[in-house]
Amino acid sequence: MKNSKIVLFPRIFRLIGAVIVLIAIIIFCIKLFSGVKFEEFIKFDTDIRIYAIYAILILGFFLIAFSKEKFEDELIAHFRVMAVLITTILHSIFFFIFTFTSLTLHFINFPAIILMNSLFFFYIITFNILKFHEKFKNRNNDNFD
Amino acid sequence: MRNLKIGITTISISMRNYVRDERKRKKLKQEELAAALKVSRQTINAIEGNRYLPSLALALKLSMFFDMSVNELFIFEKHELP
Repeated sequence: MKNSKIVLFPRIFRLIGAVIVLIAIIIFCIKLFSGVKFEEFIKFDTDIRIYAIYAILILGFFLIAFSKEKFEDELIAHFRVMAVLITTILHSIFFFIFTFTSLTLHFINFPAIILMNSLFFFYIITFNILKFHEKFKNRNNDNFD
Repeated sequence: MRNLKIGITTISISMRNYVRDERKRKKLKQEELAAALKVSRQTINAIEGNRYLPSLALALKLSMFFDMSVNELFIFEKHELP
């Protein structure tokens, strides 16, 4: 029978991803404090260098999201699927509300690359919440051993 | 827990397992059982607490480990609701 396990990056890529995200945030802050207005970051036809920050951020998020956990078993695989499902629902709600507010406030033109970033961001947050929720319950049940 | 309406009666179905009882009977710790089945301790704890339904492969592994059938280890509980 074919193995249906998800192919993931080695664990070290999680750290590399975190460093990349940190670099992207530092560049973002430098740009922001060097006089670039915040509107420039969410403008559709913005500078290519600002697009590059989002691209670096995506790479970092991608590596964090798809690198192995310390113990990669079926419960973690279940959490990954659940995180994708919850992310899709949250993302849909978020963009539904965002589009309606944008239509009324007239700032709909934002770079589509933000959409991809927020998708990864929601996924990482949801996955970690599920994981730590289970860890917390596990700690509470230690006395059963 | 799920509620099923069959005819005029509603049946509540819930899944239970005897993994914790069997593990205690064998005087094993969750870590030891997890190591034997090559899963994490969190997985064993989630199964024992009925928070996670294991895959067929893991259910079979558990039943083989405890020398029981899957039907004996995992049971469906039916309750007729008024």
